[in-house]
Amino acid sequence: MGNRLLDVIDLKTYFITPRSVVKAVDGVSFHVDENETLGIVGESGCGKTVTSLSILRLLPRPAGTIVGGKIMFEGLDIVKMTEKQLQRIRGGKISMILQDPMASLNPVFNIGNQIGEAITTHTKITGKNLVLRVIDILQRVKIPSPEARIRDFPHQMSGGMKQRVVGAISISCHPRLLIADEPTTSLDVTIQAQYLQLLKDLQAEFGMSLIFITHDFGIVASMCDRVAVMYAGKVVETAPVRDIFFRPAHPYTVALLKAVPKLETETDRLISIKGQPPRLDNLPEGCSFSPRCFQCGDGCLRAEPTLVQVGLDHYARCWQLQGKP
Amino acid sequence: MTVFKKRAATRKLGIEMSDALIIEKPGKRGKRRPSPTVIIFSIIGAILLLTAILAPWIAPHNPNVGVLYDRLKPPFWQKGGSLEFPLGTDTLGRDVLSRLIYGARTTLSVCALVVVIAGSLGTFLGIIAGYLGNWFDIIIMRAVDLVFSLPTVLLALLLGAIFGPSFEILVFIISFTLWAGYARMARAETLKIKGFDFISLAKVAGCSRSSIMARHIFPNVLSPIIILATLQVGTIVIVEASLSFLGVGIPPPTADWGSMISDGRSYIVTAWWLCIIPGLAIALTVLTFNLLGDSLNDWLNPLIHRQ
Amino acid sequence: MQRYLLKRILQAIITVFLMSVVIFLLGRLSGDPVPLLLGDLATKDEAALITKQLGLDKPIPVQYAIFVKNALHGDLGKSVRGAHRTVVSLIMERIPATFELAAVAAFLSIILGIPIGIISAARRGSFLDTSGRVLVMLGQSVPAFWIGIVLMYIVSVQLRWLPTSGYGSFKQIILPAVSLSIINLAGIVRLTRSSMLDVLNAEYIKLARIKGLSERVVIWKHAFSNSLIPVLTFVGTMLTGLMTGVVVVETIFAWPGLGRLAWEAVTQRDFPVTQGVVLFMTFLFITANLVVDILYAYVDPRIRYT
Repeated sequence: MGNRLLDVIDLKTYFITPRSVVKAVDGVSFHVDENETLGIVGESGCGKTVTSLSILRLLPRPAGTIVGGKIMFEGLDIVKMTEKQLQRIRGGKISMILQDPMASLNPVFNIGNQIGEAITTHTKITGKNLVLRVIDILQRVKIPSPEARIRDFPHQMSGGMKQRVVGAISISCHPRLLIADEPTTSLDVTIQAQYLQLLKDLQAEFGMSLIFITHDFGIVASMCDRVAVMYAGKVVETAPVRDIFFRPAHPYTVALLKAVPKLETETDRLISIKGQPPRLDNLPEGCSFSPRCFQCGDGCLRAEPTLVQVGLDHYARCWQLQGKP
Repeated sequence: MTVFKKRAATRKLGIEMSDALIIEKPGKRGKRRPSPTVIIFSIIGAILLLTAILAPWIAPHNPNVGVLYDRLKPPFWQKGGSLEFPLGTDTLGRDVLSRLIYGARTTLSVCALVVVIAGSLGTFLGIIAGYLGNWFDIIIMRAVDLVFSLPTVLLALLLGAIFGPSFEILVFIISFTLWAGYARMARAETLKIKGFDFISLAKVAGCSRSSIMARHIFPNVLSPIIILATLQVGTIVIVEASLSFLGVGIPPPTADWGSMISDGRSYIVTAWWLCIIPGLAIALTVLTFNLLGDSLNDWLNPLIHRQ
Repeated sequence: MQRYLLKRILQAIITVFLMSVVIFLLGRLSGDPVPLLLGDLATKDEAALITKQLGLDKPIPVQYAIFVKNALHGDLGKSVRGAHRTVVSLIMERIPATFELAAVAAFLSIILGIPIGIISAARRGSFLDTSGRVLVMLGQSVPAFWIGIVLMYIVSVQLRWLPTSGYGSFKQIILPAVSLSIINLAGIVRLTRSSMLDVLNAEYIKLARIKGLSERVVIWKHAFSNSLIPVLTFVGTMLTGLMTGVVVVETIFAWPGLGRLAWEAVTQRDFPVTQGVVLFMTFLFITANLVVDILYAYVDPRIRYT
């Protein structure tokens, strides 16, 4: 690990409609160093995807707005960048892999065209060199016989292949940070493992940092160096990966880990966290997790908890942790 | 389904299903209150319908009888006009306002008949094609494709040439043009619903195919069909007006907006109201029903990505 | 691709065939044409002779066969009016005028409609969007013939900018073409807009933005090419609108085209001409739809493989 590459400071992204204000991301802070993999974990709707879209300023308009906070990247604040500056960053310095490979590729252009487009946007490579570069990238994502595949259309490829092409597009300009938003959710389990290995290899080869958004702790264990756990638009715990698994501090993290079924335990019922995640336009007073927390105390209902350090580089947001060494 | 059949069905399936699941059908979620636009346009549409129905009581004069002495009087706000004939008179001295009101009657009765005929026939065939599949589907869809690939208004022209203008033929030919639209939509919706669990439940409980189609599929197909029907009223009005304008629609002397425009055409310079006013009536009617259809659509099918 | 082409062509041929049967049967429904041809004073023998000549005593299927044979050889009968010219010659004479008018109208609808639709979608909710949609809605609510009459009244009679009728000069085509284009314009704007809105929500548009492409490229290269697909289908429907509109517009503006010919024939009970024109225009219509389907397969590569 080395210097800080990305520093998200107190990011607030709200969806403002005439009917309501949804606080999708409400004061989120984390950082990613060079060459490291940060995992962002949480249930659906906790704000993981909105956070990643905020980093690239690709929120759905006109409702999605960043109302506060800073996103520092290479010395500049992304929140304050102009559209032109953002276009240079997107794809070139920070790239993203979306969840659904089936829909991520434009159906009317062949894949050579789509990969090539990414390259010509950020470099001056054209003509024969461009074709060679595209073939090279296809090889790196382990697509067989890339020279033949260049003219294929997305609907002619399998899901796993398409996701590799999407991966190819995202690394084509050697970005320094790659955000992967649940990239394996729609893939078969067997393909998943191969794809994850591919991402690891690419990371090592290109010296990229990776933000891995997932709800799967298995992936977290095998891919991530550090983890940030999100709940209801806030980060409730950040820690190195071993600490998250062996010394989880926040009740929500504890509950999440308990809910992951292990092969060895015999049980009739699966453990789940009672209750439902709160509506983001109608959050409870005090700590957002209080209605479902098994450790909830009086103080928890009055005010939002502040960040507390519970170990080396290990922070959590919980009133019950105050006073612990 | 009777309560007994429901229980039998769940037992056969061997799963514990809560009652909520059994009753749950798509589309029966609590509907929000209708938006103001739906209400406004429904009211305007209702006014139009009422005008048509109450024509004999509302119209100031007999639409088909005129006194030549009163011919070509302008509307009341122009010089020479009077409130006796608020919107003027035509070449035969007939009151334009009364003809307009009776014209609404003509046009809206054509619309009502066509919607009922084309709508029921089309929906019926569409549900059958979608639910029963196989030969039914193939034959019905071929017929639908055929209708779509013919310029039916030209055929209407042909029929008009053969039989002369007639109300019945008009209704027939327009229905013939439009049933295919309902069939296509009903079929698409049926295919969507076919796969839902409550259909399988009904089958397992022993319901016959026709009862499934009538009691489960049809009510769920109804709302898109109603929206389609509302949007089609505009088309029917314009087609009817066009055919009447050409002389192959409603036979004279029945008051009809299209014929009124055709009659008034040569007098456009001297008596502009003969052409313009019926056209405005057409525009108002079409606009109302189109906007009503659009707002019904927005109300019943809220878009997920609405921002 | 070949398979798809073959399938579509076959479908088109069958439709033409069915259509000809329908039209033919409708023709026979119109009653005995002999009295019309000969007038009231024909004798029984003359009537019998003509009947035999025209093959009207043969069974229906045979008559149909003769009908088809003649049609394929370019003989669609003769007009019962005036100079008894052949239907085919009348049609041929009027084709250029109709084609000109339809082409200009279609061109106007597309050239104006698509950009308005795209801008409406790209700037959804803005004043441009709303006013465009209102105008379009109004345009769809009025019959083409009424617009034609109103335009004629305002532009030709009151303002005297353009002539009311006639064929030949550039000025004379403007009003009819504009009247004809309005209904389709509305449809195209509506369709382009909704198709663009759907496309703009797609994942691959997000990916295009993630790549760092400028908004202009995202809209005009990625979104536009996908939104064209439904619009192309509309071109097929547009043909229907054109075909019906052409009859009324030509009639109003005294444009010497097929539409006007049809109307004249209908009002004067000239059945062979009516039948011939309808047959011809329907054939054109089916062919045009076939061409659209083929183009469709070109633009959307997914179709080629179904």
